[in-house]
Amino acid sequence: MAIDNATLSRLRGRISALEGTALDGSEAPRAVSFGLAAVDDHLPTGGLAGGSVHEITGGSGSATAFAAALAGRAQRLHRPPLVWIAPRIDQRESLYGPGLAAFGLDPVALTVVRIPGHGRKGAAQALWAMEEALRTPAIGAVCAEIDAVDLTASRRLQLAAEAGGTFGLLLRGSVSNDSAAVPPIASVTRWRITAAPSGPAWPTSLLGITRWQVELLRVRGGQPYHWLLEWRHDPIDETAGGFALAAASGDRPAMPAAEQTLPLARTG
Amino acid sequence: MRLAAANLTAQEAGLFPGQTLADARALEPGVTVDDADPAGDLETLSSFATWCGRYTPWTAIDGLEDGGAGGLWLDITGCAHLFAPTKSKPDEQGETALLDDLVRRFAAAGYSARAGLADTPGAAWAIARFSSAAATRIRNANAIVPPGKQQAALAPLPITALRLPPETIDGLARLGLRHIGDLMALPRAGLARRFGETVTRRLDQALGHLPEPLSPQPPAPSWRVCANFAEPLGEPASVTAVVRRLTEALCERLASVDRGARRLELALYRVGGGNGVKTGGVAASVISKGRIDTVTVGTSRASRDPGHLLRLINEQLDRLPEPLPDSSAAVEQAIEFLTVTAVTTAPLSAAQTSYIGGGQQSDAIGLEQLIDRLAARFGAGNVVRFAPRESHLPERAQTVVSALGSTAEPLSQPPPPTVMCPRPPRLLPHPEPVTAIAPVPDDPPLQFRWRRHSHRIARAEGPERLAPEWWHPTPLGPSSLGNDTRDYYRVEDSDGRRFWLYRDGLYSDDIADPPRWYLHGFFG
Repeated sequence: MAIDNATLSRLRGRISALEGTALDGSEAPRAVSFGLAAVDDHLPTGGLAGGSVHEITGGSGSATAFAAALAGRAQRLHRPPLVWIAPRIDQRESLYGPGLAAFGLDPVALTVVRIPGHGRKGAAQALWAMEEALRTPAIGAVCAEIDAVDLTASRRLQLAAEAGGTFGLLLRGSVSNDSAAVPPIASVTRWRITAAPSGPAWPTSLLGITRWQVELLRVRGGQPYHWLLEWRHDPIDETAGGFALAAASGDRPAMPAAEQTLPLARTG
Repeated sequence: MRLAAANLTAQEAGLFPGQTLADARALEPGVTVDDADPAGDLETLSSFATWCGRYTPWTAIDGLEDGGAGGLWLDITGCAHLFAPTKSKPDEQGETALLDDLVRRFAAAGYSARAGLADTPGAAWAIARFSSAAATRIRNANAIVPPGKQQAALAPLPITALRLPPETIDGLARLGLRHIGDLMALPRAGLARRFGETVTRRLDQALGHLPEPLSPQPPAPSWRVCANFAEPLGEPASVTAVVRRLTEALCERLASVDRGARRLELALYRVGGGNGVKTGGVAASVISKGRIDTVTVGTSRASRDPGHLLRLINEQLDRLPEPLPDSSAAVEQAIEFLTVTAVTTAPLSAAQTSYIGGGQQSDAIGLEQLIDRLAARFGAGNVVRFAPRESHLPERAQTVVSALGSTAEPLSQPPPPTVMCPRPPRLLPHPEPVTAIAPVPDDPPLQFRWRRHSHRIARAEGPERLAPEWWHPTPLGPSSLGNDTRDYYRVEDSDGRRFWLYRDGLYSDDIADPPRWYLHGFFG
């Protein structure tokens, strides 16, 4: 039995509307593209679905930089304001504007909410703040550092993101590396970002281009995958930075033996 | 020891302020004596002034006098008609009703109050203190001096009623001048020459020939709406409904003159205790008066959107020191009077706000309303923006400013890159010392240990040498960081993690005290 294309696309549209990842229609918020066909084509929405919440896990610096890069991509069109929600802990490393700018995020457009309180109470406050921010259509992207998120809370966040058409990122630093051990939450995608040895440089003792092992652990309506991505940073025009696929790493020499002969001093 | 003050019952027994305690004990053995507490008295008086805000926004303390009596000024210009029971002659009826209400409420709280009402502060002061007609109980309209009739009302009063210094009063008394009427009959020039211009000035002020400005406490706000209830509100829902109605009314008034509120204050006046009036004992009994809870909200942009302002207020209503009354609460907790005041306002022209997706303008409003809500919950200091600062020291190159007062920068263009050298997206607020093994003199470390984890360094870049800011007027002190040259290195460990390390100071001949290494940030 032949099914005409119109029927098929209508059915597809209904399914994705139910799933909250609307493919087409002017109502649906624009997807946040990586600007990299290899990743965008793998994602069912041609990029990270707008109006939904995505989960990023991983080490402090890399996950922050990756989230900043995505938030910066969400900001590309008409530079809407961004909101970053972080716990207020004096000992913890804090966001640093000049460093975020290197990943394409405009620190001037950033409003940072520092959540007082620790543990469960602090997480509840942060969830409230994120929900409020997601419900505000004027916000370009909301990034929140919340570790304790359960299924119910994440569903609320997803509904808020759909209502506001806002792009949400959940930055979960201290969840276990084992993805099976992490309880499922209602995010549209889950990513794990690990720092990878940087790209080639000459002399080889210097740092090269920033590289991450980017693992797509879960995606609604798609398959998990992994890439080795680079961040191409232009120090003159910080908005010109972008993702790129890293070339397959060839043989990399270890630290040149000559350096080992330098006089050593044990300090401090 | 002398008496500082005596209550009515004590005065009837013959006690008076200034009497020695021994005399007082001899006269009235049952007297109860407490230590005088002028500071506490003043505080109570000040809280009365606030409480009288229910009658007029313009209230002031008259200050404590000898004898422990304190006074309050209330300027009820334009307020009296609000209290009138019927529409006919609203001002006259309203004045009587206002005085009745004032005296009744003070009596119910256990305080004996004397009230007088006149065209001038001086006349009202004299009537309240020295006229036998002063309203000390309900339905005593004689305490009100009709407009322009100060002369007749003041003439029979003693000259002490003119607020003159004691030595002037003594001097006048020696001349046989006992009543204000006696003074009025005298030639003014001679009076002024002999007793100074205070006498004539006070007389003119009381009669209304000279103006007498008084400073209200607090400054009278001009944007205020209030609601008074015969039956106190005992339901949270009805309280929020009234707050909504008042806020809407205020926003309408603001809209009529193109202004918006920057700071809004809601005051809830509780009924308070003191139903049992205890005036029998010789000492004054302490009776609580209704407390006033205030809620203040600020907005980052002038607003007259009742929905937005109400969300901000409701956010704080849940966290009052005493919860809103419900049906189980005692009647003292019920709310009988509410005011909503726009403490600070700013010009706000009419704007089209309902159009969805209206570009930059609606974006800014949406963000600012969000900031207001977040700031109402977490405090203005916790909703911040980053601002660049002219400094090459990383921790000083960025400051944090509250997102609530600061106007948003135009978001259309990115800031120029301030530093060409890479900076980490995450910075430790206080650099943490690490144990490092490094070749001397200028090489990056080969290995470092931070928070009990050892990192082998595979690649490194540097140094980027940052000199201390010697031109900084206040150095951080000899022992703290920031006074030494720093050599920064970007390093990558064998797992690919990238760190920002620095060596605090240079190597010197002193082998025993090598410079220390610190971890300052994390690269992406």
